[in-house]
Amino acid sequence: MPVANLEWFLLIGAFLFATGVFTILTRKNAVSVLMGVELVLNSANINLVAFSRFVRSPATLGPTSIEFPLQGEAAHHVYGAAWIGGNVFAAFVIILAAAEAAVALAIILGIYRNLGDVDVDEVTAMKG
Amino acid sequence: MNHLLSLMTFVPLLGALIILCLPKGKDEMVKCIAACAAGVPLFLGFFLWKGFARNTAAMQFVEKADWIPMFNIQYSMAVDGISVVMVLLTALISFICIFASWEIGKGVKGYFALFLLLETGMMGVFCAMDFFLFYVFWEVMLLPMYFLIGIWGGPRKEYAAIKFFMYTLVGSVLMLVVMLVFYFNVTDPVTNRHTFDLLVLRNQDARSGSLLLEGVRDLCFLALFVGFAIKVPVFPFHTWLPDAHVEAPTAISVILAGILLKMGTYGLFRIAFPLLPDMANKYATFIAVLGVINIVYGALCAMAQDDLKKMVAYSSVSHMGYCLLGMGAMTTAGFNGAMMQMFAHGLITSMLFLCVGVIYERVHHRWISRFGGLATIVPVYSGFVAFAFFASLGLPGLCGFIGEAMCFIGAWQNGTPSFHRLTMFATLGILLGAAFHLWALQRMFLGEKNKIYTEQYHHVTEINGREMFCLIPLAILVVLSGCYPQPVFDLMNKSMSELQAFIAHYPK
Amino acid sequence: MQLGVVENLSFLTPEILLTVTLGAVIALDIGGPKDRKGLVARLAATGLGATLLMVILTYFELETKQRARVFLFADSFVVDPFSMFFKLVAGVCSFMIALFAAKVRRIESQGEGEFYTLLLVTTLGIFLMAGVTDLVGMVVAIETLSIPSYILAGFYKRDRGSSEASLKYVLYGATASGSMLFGLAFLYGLSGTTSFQGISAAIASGRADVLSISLMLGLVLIGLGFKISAAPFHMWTPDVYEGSPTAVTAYLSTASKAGGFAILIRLFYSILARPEVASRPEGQWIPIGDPGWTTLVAVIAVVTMTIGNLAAYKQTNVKRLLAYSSIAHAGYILLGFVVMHGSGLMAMLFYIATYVFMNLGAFLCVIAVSEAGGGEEISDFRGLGWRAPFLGFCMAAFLFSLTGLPPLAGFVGKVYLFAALVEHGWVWLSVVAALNSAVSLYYYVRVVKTMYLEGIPRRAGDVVPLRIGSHFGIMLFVCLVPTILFGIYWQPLARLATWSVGASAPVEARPVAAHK
Repeated sequence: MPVANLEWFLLIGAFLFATGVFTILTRKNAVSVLMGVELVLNSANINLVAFSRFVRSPATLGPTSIEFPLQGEAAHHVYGAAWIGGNVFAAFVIILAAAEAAVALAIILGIYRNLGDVDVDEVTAMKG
Repeated sequence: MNHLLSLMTFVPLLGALIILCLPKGKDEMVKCIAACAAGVPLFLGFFLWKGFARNTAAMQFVEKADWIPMFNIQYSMAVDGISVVMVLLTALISFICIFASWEIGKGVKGYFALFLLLETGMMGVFCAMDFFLFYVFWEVMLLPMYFLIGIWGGPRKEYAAIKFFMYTLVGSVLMLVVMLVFYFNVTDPVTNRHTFDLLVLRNQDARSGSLLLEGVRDLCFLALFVGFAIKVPVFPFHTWLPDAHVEAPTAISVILAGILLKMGTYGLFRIAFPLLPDMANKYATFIAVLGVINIVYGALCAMAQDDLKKMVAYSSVSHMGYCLLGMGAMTTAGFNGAMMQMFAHGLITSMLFLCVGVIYERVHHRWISRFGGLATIVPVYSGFVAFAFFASLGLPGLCGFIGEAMCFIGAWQNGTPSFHRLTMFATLGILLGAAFHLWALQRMFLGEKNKIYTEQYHHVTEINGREMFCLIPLAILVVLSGCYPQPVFDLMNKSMSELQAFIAHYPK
Repeated sequence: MQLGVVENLSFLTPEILLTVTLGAVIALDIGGPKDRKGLVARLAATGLGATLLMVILTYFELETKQRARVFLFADSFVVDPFSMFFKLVAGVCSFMIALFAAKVRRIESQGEGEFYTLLLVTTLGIFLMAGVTDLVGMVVAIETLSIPSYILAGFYKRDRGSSEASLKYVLYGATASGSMLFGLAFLYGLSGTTSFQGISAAIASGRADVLSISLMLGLVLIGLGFKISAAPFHMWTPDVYEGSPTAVTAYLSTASKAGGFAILIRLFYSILARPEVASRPEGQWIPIGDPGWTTLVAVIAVVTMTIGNLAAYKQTNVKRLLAYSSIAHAGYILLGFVVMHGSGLMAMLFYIATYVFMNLGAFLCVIAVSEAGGGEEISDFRGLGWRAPFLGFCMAAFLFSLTGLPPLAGFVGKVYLFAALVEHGWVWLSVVAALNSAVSLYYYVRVVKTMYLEGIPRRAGDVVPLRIGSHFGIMLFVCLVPTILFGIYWQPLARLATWSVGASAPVEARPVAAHK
């Protein structure tokens, strides 16, 4: 049974990212495009959480002489925030993604009310 | 410290501001203020003439002050033999042009305010001894010129105005880059800082930094040359000129031809040659060849024109060619000739455009072929035109001849076979010049009245007092400096020979 | 230096004041009296004015106390002259827009409260962007700016153009921030830290691979390039600028863009470059790892300005024309980025400061015209120079300044940019940029031509005056003064920009003990 290491997570992240970008580029429906964006954001989240789990670095402490990597309790003590940095980051991203989605959906709703359609190819009053 | 040059430069600007503050409907007052504001530089010009030391090539009436110390930009104004003639010419012609534009119908306030701003720009260009300051004045001139052509011009004014603007701007941004290249490659030995001071830039060892590199000096010189050549205008950058000159109102055509064109040649004398003397030597023949092309091509184009103003415009192209030939010769006589030609052309072409304006104001067209027999109806006017034409074609005794002759002598003195050939070829221009002037004279003024366009003759009235007031001072100067050019040469000679010696010191 | 919490927070007074104003505006909007016409606008403008004052005071405090920078919140936020410079610029923009929007009838009818709330939030976002030194903070700051901007773009709810602008903005924007986040996640993964200093240290010590970091910074560049509308991420700009309410467009093209540049400079210079000598931070920067990104940015700059200038040619809508012009200007400003030298950064700051005034002024002219009953097409500007002489003069001055003609501020800004390029051997780049700016004259002058060369009155009585009102007149004057003044005497601004770059440059890793 293969051990779940960092590469697996990154591959999933990359796959999600590619899927998201593909969706954004090919879908005509604004809501679908938005879903693509969410995929991209979540691919970043997966990466962040994975990095947080697997990468341990003393970098926040600057170029010090601490031996790398430390193990176990000592590491937790020294690295402090660095341990959970990625998780915190991911939490922020989730919140921001939610805010962004809320605003985007409201805007799409507005477009629907004005135009009666949410096809991005039809929204072309301005050109040039 | 003497503030003569600053006053000459900024009194017109002050006048412009006063005019802008006046309430609407005070057109007469606007004109009077404009005349005063343009009169002050002329009046001060008299002191400049008196006080200018003829026996030195050094800078005089120097004013220096820090402007932007962080960038070592100085407010540095001065004149030497190269610029003093141009400063005086600017003061005179601007003053005359105020009167030439007395009958401007619409937007009087804006017109005179812009005109005075233009005069400030022109004065500044000829007085500035700091490259940055020079550049600022050079560009400041463009804005009023654009509006003056674009608002008060002829039928195709918009096209002409933008064309003039674009051409000049493209040329001057190249100059800007070269200016910065010089700034960063030259250090003032006294203050140990980078500098825009033209005198320091000239006396430096400019073979430093990247200016040492093969080709960089060539590129710098060519960029500067293109920037100035557009203004001269040198073939093939001349195409803006016929449009701008033809569409501009009379007074502005006078300014364009009488002063603005000289800025190109002045720029070569003041900046391109002293800053890159070795390149000046290297490209001397190239410049002279372009000059000869200008002479012949301009004359041929002039001959083909039926529009009198366009003919005069192309005659400018031809005449500026003599300047280039003289400059390319790299001899003192050639430089003096080029300068003299600039001065003479300033006077003569102003007369020509004023004369064109006179007839245009009366009949509202300028087609040579529609006229005929004007001499019998308006003899005085015809006399003025004939005088201006003869001056323009280089009749001995009038100043045009002196300039052209000196240019030829200078070019011949260069001594190389190629210059001999060029000079011989250029004399063709005199022939062509005489031809198109005399031909136009004959078609317009001599012979029978035109039988098809008879209606126009009702409108043809004799030249009035105001117009004569504009023409007579120019005519007097043309005769004076044609018969006795020594005072003009005295002004420039020292600086010119010094510049020639300086350039000769740097072989290719 | 280690400071107490309270003393630390005193450096955050502008942000705190801004937040308080924000709260007050919301409270007033929800609970205030029904008949409160213009009250919200006045409150917001007062708050922004006070914030601006605090920014200036903090600026002075930094200078007088010789405290180059103050780190806050576990080193994730810094108050330094560099950030204060951008806060000043953004503060001025927001203040002006708040004042201007107060007289725009349509904003009033759509709900002032929302407008000013969103405006204040975006301003706060820019303030945060100017100071963050941490990836998480950076993302939060950028989104604090972006999300309200999306709504502002669609503020005219019943307007098709406005809705469309909003949709395009949010879709492009979300995609750009998604790509940026993906890149940021990798930056964190490669270096193990979210702080700029830490990433830089990781690269310097060789623990993080420079090539991978550069690749990921490329992804980050998508997000930031979107914010500053650099090619090839500029596509949204013309549509959004044209469709949005003009006050919002003015804001997006000035303050929002300035914020984008602030974070762009901070991120790249913190991570990929280091000042050569600690004592002379305004000087040369040493690239960490491969300096190839400067060439990339140079190419982006050239493409951006060329696309902007070429596309602006055939525009008939003034807002759209100014949108392309603002793309071109993003290209010019990027030029200062490539030289890896304090003089380039100084030129960027200088240019941004001058650009803000002239661009804001140009948009304010558009607002003034449409509020006075005109339109936003170039043809609506016909004869304006004669009908509204002061407005015409201002607009012409702003446009010529954008072109870069002396004696206007835009010229000086360009000179500094070109000078930085020439000084560091990028002569070809400066030639391209100079030619670009010469070419740009053509489309700016088209507007001037329509204003002055067309519809010239035959007689003095023929003019139908267009009254713009003293409120707009004064605001235009406020923009006009710096546009002309900094073209004639710019030493103070140049000093300020130099100081702001110089004193804040070294964002290096600090000793460990400092914040423990």
